[in-house]
Amino acid sequence: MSSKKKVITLRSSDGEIFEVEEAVALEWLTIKPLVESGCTDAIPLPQVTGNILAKVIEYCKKHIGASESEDRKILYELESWDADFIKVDQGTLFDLIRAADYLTIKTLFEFTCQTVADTIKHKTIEEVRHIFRESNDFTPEEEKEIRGKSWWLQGL
Amino acid sequence: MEESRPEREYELPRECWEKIVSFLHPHHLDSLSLVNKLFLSITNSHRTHFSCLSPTFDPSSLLRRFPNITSLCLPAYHGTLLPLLPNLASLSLPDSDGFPLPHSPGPFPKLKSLLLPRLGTLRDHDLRGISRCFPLLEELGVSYPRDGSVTDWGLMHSLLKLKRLRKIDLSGNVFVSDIVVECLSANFPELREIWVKDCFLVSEKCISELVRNRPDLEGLHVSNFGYPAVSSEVTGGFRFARGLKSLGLLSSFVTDDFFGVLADANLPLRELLLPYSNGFTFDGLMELLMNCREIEVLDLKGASFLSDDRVAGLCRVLGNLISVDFSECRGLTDGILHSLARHCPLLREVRMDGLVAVGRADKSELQMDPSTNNGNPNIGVNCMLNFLSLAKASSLNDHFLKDISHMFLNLQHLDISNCGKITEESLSTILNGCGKILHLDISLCPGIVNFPPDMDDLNLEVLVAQGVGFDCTDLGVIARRCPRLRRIDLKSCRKVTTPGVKQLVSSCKLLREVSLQWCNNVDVEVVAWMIFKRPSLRRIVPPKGLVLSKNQKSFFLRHGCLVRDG
Repeated sequence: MSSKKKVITLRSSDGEIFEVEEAVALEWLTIKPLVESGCTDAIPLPQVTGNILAKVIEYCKKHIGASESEDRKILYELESWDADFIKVDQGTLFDLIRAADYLTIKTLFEFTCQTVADTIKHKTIEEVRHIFRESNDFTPEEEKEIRGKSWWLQGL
Repeated sequence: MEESRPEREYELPRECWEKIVSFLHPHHLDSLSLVNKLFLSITNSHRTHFSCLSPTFDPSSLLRRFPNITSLCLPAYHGTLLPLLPNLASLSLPDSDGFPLPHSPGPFPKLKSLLLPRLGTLRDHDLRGISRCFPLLEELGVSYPRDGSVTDWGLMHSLLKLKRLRKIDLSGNVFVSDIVVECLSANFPELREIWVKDCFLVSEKCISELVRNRPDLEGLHVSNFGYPAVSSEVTGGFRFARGLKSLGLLSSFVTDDFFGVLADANLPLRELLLPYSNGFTFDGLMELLMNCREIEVLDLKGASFLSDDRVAGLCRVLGNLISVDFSECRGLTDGILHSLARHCPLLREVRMDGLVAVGRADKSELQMDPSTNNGNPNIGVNCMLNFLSLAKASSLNDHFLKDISHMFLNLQHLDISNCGKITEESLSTILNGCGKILHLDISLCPGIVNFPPDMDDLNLEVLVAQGVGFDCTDLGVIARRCPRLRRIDLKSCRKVTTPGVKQLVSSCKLLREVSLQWCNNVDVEVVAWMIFKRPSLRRIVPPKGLVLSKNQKSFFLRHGCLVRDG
């Protein structure tokens, strides 16, 4: 048996070349068929820039195999590693979400979305608009109508 | 640089926002929906379940806004249901006057679960209607009708049409007898769960037969089982049980022999609920538990034979416990919290209401924990526990509460209501120590006179402080320190006055629910002010003396807030 692990080559939108182990690339459902078909050329990823791709690879390398671990110590360490990993500015966070969505990496997609959800949780409407640069496109009448109809949204 | 990025970089595709929204609790969605039209559309389509406060509303407007609703809970509802029924998979109507059946009904084959607890009236013809309307029901609950005179014959006649039934709750229907249970046992191969609490005409023998006939039964909940004695004839049926995961024997007489039979049956038990039951010894119970080590939920409310040592032994056996209830166990002290924390790494919920003795625990052991705890995941068992209820613990003192703040770092829900010896000193320690507390109940604690002022910002979302001596200054502290507050209950806080309430409402931007019931020193006029000042408010219980006309109520409703009569 060959001891050398198969390596897949990826090319980011800005032309940077990355090498990842096959096992990591197989978790990315979007390129999985290409990897399985034995493609040896660099796989182009036109929607992901080099610096984001580097982060994505870093995350997936750390998580491969570790997420299923039963060992509480490993999981605990992974959790604190994750917490450091995600300390990025909002632009990068959104880039990571878009990349995880585009490459269909379930673990990273859920983790990044959860991070945004935690940010939103305790914010008022105005704060959410400010953070995400979303503008208010309701007319005052529409806004009043929605507020008035939302009284029964109470509860769980 | 954030500023130099093009605006587009802050946009996410809809599917990403949908995923993000799926991680949020429904009460977070309410404010999110008003951000803009995209968010409104995403949160609207995300919503599949509703609980609704209002006793009547326009169902078609609900469906227009939330097209994907499949589950509704409408307490005390008396409006129309017909437009909603074709889409629903699950419907719960607690405390309704009666089941509001349309005249020319369905059938509505999508409905799988119908729960009607505490109906005003429940008669045979209601059941006939239910079985005609919802022929494919898998779950039916008609427990504790306020005026129920369902007959065996009527119930059987209707149930026989519901061939898919998997779960049924007939608790509190006093006229239900063995005949119905026999019918269920004979005709429903899919039946998995049955609740017949407070059905005094259902005999032990019949339950035993049911278990014998339906070895795949997964859930069985009965009360007053086994009086005056459990015969071998009765226990015999349980030898055949294979699938029982949840067993509830409430206020029952359970013997060690019976536990022996259950132990021999090698049940896959996950839940064992024995509140206020007696007749068994600790050894008998242990024999069963040794054979059912997968148990996650254990309720031994009122078990007088329990001691700290015995609970420690029990914890060593049950490593998978998630939730325990040792309320009103008079032989226990605070020491068992330590055993639980140490031996049950998965434990999340502990109830020890009515704890009598405090302080006999080995302090050296207790205090060792926080230091060994820090950063060590192997001993960090305490980090899982997030729900602790210690209500009515008459001897619970400051010292003990401070210990808790070292033991359970991730506590989210703490109930110390009716604890006479607690003062704000330990309250301050625990709020600072357990920074993740979201829900705090300090009702009727005479020792807590002020809300501790010397604190960092808290994460508190719910504060229940009925009958506590808070005044304006304290509400000011709460307003400053609890920016995330969603609900505050100040019922019977006589020292609370209008300026304090105004300060609170001005500062807490996420506030949804306020109760000022019996706050006699608060001006009733403040209610209208609150609604206009804080649009996030959804429910207000006003101080005494506010009588609203129908017009005023609907005016407030249009502004998003339900105001009860004072």
